[in-house]
Amino acid sequence: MLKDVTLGQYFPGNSFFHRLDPRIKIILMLLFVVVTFFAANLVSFAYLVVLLGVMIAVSRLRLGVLLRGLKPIMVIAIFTAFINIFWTKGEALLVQFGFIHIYAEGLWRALFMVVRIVSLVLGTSVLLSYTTTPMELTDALESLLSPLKKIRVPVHEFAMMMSLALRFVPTLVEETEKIINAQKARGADFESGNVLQRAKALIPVLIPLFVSAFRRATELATAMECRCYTGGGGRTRMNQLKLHAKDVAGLLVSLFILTAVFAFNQIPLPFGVL
Amino acid sequence: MPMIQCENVSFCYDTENIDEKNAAVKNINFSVERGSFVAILGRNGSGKSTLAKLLNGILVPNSGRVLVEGMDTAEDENLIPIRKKVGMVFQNPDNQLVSNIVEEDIAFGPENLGIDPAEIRKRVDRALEIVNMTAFKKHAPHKLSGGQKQRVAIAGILAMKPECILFDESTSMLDPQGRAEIMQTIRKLNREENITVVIITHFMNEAAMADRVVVMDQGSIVRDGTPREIFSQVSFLHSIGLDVPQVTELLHLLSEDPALSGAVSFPEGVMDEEEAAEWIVKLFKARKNGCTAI
Repeated sequence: MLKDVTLGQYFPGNSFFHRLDPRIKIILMLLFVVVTFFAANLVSFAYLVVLLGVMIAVSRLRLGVLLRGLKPIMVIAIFTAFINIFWTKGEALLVQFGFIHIYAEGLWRALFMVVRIVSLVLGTSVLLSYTTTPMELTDALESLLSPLKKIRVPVHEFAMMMSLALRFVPTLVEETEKIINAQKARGADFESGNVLQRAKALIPVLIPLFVSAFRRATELATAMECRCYTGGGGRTRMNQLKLHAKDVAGLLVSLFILTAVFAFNQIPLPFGVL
Repeated sequence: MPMIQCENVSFCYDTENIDEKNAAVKNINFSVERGSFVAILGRNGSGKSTLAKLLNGILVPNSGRVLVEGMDTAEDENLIPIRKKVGMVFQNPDNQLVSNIVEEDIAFGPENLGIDPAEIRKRVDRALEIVNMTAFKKHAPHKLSGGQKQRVAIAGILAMKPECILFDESTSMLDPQGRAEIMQTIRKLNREENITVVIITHFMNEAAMADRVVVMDQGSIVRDGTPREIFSQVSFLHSIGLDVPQVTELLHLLSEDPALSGAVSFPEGVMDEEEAAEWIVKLFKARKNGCTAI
């Protein structure tokens, strides 16, 4: 179950997305998220799906990896689809069974929502988390947010915290699995009972996990101090961010490609308003 | 001037009532010479890890002082220069790696020191070479074995070009192979890179590799000498809850065996398997010839 957590994992590679400046990737990712929310009719959604396909192909990430990353959000996607199918009122009634009314609008809306959720997760993973090392991410965030330093926002510290959190995701996942196995060996039951009972059964997993996470944090802080970490001031970077002409070109082309969605939204189609 | 010098150092974790009784280390006088390989030995709770943390200013003594090349660890402005000179590798390799990429992790230390990017690159490549991890430079640490992770941690310290490295039970979480890898690396650092090494350990055969063994018990240094001098005191080590290397133990038991009494007088503190084997062969020959002494 926990092996599916691919959040915050970086998959080494040498694709266009791997090489793109991480700052550009962050901007593109934000733009992608916005565009996904603005997509409002069949054409824009179809366009989004095609775009996503192209992005995945260009990133040369393995499809299996991407699909595994989707597993944890499947519940949310199915739940959303369910709500939309049964609770949307429209004009084109398809099924009527007792109190259940299913309208064509509901089906479309459910489909759109699922596409939206899936493309949010895939898009952000391909654009950012799977193709960018945490250090690049830290640098990029720090660089993008650096104007905020003027108003005394601890930008470097936030960026560092985020990258450390990402670094420890796989470690803590491994640890959680160990604790689950240890508790199972002591007779803990995680598989039966209703939702509430199962949630309760997780307490003996979470408490040791938190204790160990705090211990790790203390040790990590000491180790960082031993390596002369004193915060952002006076630091240099081995791999420095340099904006190349091709990065800027990439940004401009992508801007054009993404904003096309707004144009597609203007095409009048049935079930277009979401 | 010694690399590190402790003068009457005491330290107590309970800062509210500092006294002799609950001090983790008491009145330590001890120094580490440049280029030496020192092992600090002691059972759990003997104060050995506390002593290690005092040596590079992670902890500051309640009384007495610790000098690293003459710089007092109690002075805040000395901390960075001290840590540049004296690096530390900890027990759990997972908790000291900061990046998801091996080479970025190694660059972390020199980056903190504000070193020029081209120079950092050189240092990282060199450090990877020394610990023999060049092939893994783009890997994610969590996919490496324990021994490999610990070698990355060592490289991270090496890239800061320290003069001395403290190893705080750095092999205790590793499997036998990982432990051997790390000990081999440590020996190489000492012999070839001329780095002063202090290892904190409770593994006797690791301590046997050092030039000097310091034995701690209940917060004090109780013995200080060459491995041979220390390991010849088998009953004393047993009395403070420590073992000796297996070969040393074997020869000690043989020499105490009444059935063999007087037949042989083994030297105490033999740590080398081959040397021990030679003595045992001598014992057999002596018995065969009916001799009573060799």
